[in-house]
Amino acid sequence: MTLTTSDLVTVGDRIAGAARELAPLLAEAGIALPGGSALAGAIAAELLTPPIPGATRTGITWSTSRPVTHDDTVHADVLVTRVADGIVDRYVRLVDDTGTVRECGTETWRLDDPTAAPARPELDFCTAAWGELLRARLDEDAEFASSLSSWDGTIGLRCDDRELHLRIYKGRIVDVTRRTPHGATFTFVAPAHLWAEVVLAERDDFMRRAIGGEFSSSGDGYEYLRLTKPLNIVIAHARALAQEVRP
Amino acid sequence: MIEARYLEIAGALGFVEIVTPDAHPAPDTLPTVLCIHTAGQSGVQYRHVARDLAARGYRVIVPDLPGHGRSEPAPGGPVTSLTAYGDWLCAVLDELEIERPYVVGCSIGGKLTLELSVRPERPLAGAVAMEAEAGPGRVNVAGLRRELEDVAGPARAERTYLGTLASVGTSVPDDKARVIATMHKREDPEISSSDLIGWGSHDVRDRLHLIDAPIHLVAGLDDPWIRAAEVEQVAARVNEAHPGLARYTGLAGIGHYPMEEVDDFAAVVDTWFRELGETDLSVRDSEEVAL
Repeated sequence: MTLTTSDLVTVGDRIAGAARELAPLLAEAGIALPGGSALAGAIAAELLTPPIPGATRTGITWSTSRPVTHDDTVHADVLVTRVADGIVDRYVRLVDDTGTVRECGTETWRLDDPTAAPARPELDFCTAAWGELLRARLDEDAEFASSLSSWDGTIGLRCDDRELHLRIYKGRIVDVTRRTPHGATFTFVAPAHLWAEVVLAERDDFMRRAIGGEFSSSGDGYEYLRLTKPLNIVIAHARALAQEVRP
Repeated sequence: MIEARYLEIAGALGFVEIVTPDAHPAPDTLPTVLCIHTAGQSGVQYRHVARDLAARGYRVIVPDLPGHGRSEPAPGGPVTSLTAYGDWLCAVLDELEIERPYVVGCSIGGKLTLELSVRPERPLAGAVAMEAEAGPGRVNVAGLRRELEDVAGPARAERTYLGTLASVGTSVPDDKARVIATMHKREDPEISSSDLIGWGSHDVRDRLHLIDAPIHLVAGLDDPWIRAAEVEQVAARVNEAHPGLARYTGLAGIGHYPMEEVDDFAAVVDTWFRELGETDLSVRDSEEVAL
């Protein structure tokens, strides 16, 4: 994967910071935490990640699989996952010296000047504007139409809290909306960092990640599996769309 | 020369291809290699390798497991136990009066290679176990059991095709990958699901100390179905019990099907067999190679 850091903050920007041992890192910042504190990882991540210039951190969600301890050496891996309406989301992984992700979370930043980082609909996954761009590409794809030529249903695509429905009848997308009246037949679900990584990867590794169980679905699981081929085509177009603006 | 044989084994005919050097006066005297295919597939996966190994002086035995390829179904229905497949392979060797073969297998065939390796009552000349950990494979066995009913297994052909494409390594050209995936799509879903239940439940971790023939563990570093570090660990555990008996190779740019992905795989596996044949019980280091 090639994700470079652009001048303007853009979805796909990635920063890998230097590795530091936790105890001196906290000590240098004048922070004393009791051993086993659940806050240690989140604070280390904040200390290890550079701020976004001209922006204020306004929120963070954080979770841990194996909490870091004061003896651990970790680095932060940062990926910008959304830029929209003057808000920037960054996904932060705290990775130890064996390469294991120990803790992770999403930071939210508010830009002082929203025009400093304009939103790109091609990279704003599962929004209505993104959906229309996707529809334009799928409408031209005969293989997509053929794969769904006997199908009547709705494909849901979900990125974090955003969901988009593609209403399909006999191979044609007849509506793109946030919610169809009868809901989605099934919904493909991936967190924002996975959307960013999948659509910007040099090689299409969508199916490899699916084999590895990185995605989930809701609704009709049978139909989700049955539509593996058209879903693979949808992702291929999402990749092409993203790489129009971020090759 | 290719000889096709149907063997009567456990109440059903099992198909075996025997490939030997052309016009060899005594092929039974040649070192013999048993090649074991992957889940849902058949011996056709070794069509190039078997020919090329024969040209290198081996007698190559390529069976189709029960219910696969040209073998009849197992009388008791699709097989979900790799131990049962192991018994069937031993019966094949008995029928052909083969002793001390080399064995090479991939995926469930890799697990079957491990299964045969932990049966000291049937000595091997050496073993090459590819794309297989010693513990249960990482699949959803409950979901696979559901898909034994055809109504619960949608779009199997497409999922096999796209899943195979995703399992092939990054070094393999697209047209070659598509041929591999298209051929894999020929599977019988009920047989494949049964094989994968076997993959998800087979475990030889507590029998690794029984391995007494030289063994080479191989992992494609692009294989999404296994963890290469776990495969390397198998070699380490065998060497704990018998120093120098096992070695490990990680194949850069290769996925789940080395014998179909690697150009001139016969030359590679021939080298591995020769190294196994020369094993002097000195400890070997692990390595990674680019092919």
